[in-house]
Amino acid sequence: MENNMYVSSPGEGITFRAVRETRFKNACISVHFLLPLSREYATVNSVMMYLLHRSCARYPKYNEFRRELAMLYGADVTTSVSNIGNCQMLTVEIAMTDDRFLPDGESISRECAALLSEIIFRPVVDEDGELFRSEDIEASVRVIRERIQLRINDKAEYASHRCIEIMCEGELLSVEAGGYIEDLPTITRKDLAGAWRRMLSLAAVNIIMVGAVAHEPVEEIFAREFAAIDRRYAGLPDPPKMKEDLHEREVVERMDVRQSKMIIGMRLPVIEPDDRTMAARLMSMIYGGGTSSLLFNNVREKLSLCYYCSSMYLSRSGLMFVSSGIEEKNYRKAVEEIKNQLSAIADNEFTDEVFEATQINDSIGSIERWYCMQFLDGCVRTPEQAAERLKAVTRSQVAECASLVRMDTIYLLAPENREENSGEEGGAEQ
Amino acid sequence: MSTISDRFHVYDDPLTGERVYYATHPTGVKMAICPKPEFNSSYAIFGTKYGAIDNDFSVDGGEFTKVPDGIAHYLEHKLFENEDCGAFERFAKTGASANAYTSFDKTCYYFSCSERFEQSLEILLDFVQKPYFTDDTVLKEQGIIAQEIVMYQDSPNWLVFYNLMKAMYREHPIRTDIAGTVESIAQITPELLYRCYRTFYNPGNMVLAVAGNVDPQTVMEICDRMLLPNDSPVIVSRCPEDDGRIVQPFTEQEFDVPVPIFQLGFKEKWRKISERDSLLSGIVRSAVFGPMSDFYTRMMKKELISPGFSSSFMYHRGVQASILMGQSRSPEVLRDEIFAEIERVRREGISPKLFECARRSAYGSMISAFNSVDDIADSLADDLLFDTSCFEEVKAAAEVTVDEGNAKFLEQYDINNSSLSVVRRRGEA
Repeated sequence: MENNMYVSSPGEGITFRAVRETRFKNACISVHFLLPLSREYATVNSVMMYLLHRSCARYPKYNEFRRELAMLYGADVTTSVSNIGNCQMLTVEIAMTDDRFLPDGESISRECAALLSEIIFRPVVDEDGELFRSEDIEASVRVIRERIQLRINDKAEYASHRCIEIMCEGELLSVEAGGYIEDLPTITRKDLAGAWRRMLSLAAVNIIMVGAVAHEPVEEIFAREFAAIDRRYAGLPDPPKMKEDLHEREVVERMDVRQSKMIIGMRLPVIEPDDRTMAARLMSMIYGGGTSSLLFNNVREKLSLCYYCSSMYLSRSGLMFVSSGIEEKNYRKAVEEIKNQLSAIADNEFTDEVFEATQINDSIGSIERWYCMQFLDGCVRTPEQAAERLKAVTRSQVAECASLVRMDTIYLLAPENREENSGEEGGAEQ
Repeated sequence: MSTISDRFHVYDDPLTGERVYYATHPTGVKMAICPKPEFNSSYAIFGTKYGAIDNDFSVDGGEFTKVPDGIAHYLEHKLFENEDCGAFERFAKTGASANAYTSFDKTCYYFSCSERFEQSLEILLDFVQKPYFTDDTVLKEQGIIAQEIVMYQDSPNWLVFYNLMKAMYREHPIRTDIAGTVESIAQITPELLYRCYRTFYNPGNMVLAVAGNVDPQTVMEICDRMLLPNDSPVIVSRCPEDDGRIVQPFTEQEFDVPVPIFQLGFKEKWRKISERDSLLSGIVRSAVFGPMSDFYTRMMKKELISPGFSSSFMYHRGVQASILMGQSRSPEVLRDEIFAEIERVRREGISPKLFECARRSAYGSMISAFNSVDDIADSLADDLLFDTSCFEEVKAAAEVTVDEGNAKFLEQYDINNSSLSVVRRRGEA
């Protein structure tokens, strides 16, 4: 046990990590399955993960399952799908109140761990003993369809999706983790069962628990369950490479919106496990990471062009995005200033103060996420060690990272031409 | 040398295990500090009981003044700019991450940090006490806030909410966006900002809550050094008379949405409520309408709701309502189903088993609210601002009974005093 962490490998490609934390009132156990990312499986994985979170063989009805979780003091089961570089990550997790804070010395941690394993390893079967039930599948397909449709309600998120779709067309990086509407009608029960088996058999598995509860019973449950699986883990794909032969391009799309959403997609050849990702992360923070960043203080505070202007760097894809909401007439001015601020960092023109702003986040969620990402790198550091590494980054390393950034796609979601619209009836505009 | 016990009242909570140091600073600022030495980070929040609904007020018995909509929020933005330097730049030097927000009934300024807490706390207390407004600086902010306002106007969830407020309240300022309108913020002047500032940013109306790796005595010493004495005037902030009845039962708007979205509000006559009341109303909502209920299962099967179906309780001065919300292919049909379920529960009562499920779930989530220093400080600040206690709520979650739940339900869901707000796709209304 080093750094309050216990590590074991209960099977090929499976890692179990228990981080002992007594600071929180919750405990959390999460199981992350990593598979090579593919367009083909995106939708079926998304539906399958939604099905898993609704029930299990022991509690086949959703409301009964929810009642059981409520009786466990509101233990919270979530499943999610996300993309990390060239991998897709399927996550099942349970968050529970720590036994120390329950009335009358009650204990729920073992029951919660057992329930998590039920969800993963024993999904509902129908009367014929086949995996998943058709009524649950129909309900899940409807939910996933609505979820995809509803993206448009959040215009900033919609614009980000469009930008990445256009920018990374033909690349794996453009695959939508949440799936595609056009794939939904043809999904069969067999496809879903296949997706479930593939996850258990082929994925790299990362089990993480954070909290004060004992790890031994949890480790034992998962060791036993995985021993019964026919594991055929074949490793994970190599990290993506930066696309060569880039050309800056602008794409304007129009919709019934009042504010224009601008997303600038950029690329940099600094991709995990590159040593320079820490410097690139710091570069992105200095550029547009918060209220002390250059974008906030110049595009918003000095030029009053927007309410928000921020940057985000994806260290496993080598992509960086700047996002802002502006008036269309200020588009050129904003793009120019956003480029200028990047050049300022590349030219080493930033203050020591913004450079030094580093933070450690003490939430159970961020600690869990932290270790989940560390798993991909093979070497494990504590958040404190990472903060030390961040502090060791030099100004010239930050400047170098900024100089490596290349513009790719400048995407603008702008209001429709108002003249064209004037004849329309029943418009919401006032 | 004073000791901690001279200046603080210390409270140890048996259920959460938290220890909180309470005090009222000699200037009048109310304080609460929750030391968490095992954490790396600290979080401080300096707030005033002044929000968007305080737009009509009198000071020390003088005449009432009506100010433009959105001025509390505008003031929050402008306070970050002092005469010599911006607060964001000052925080950048200590490495703290700072920001602020304005809601209907409070304005809060906060930072979190992992180092140099003391310097950051000095900056927080200093900049909030040093207003500097000129014609130029006020004008400069208009572009930024106008973009914030139009950003929300592109959100259907924002539209459906404010349409509901207009359907439930005839005149209350809850009808208007917290940030105001592009037109109303154009009327804001430095003089008006100073007037609002002097009224509401006085120590008697303000609170400081801190949680994290801090020493209460040190916080007190910084307050002694930084807080400026000031006469705390008597403020009367008034809301228009309201008879407790809704304005109209239905309102709709067309917008670019793939599935109609709705909010269904049940208005109540405003009264002062206890922690136990607000906790109970949450437990009742989850037992009757939540994912564990038979009603939820039935509605999912009929495809009248989606997993986003949820509920909330709104409580501000003059505003009290339970709201059910989500998306639905047919909000009107769903409303009729909800009404029928309310009638049934009124007759038959809440299932004791489901009440117990919801109560336990509420207990767990109350405890989880003490997981992070940010959440702890936020809760403590609210307690100081509105004279409540988050620990009372945890205690209530351990105690409440289904009989109390049934009484609460009867009090809350008057189907004849409800409004449905819908936003649906163009051409489908």
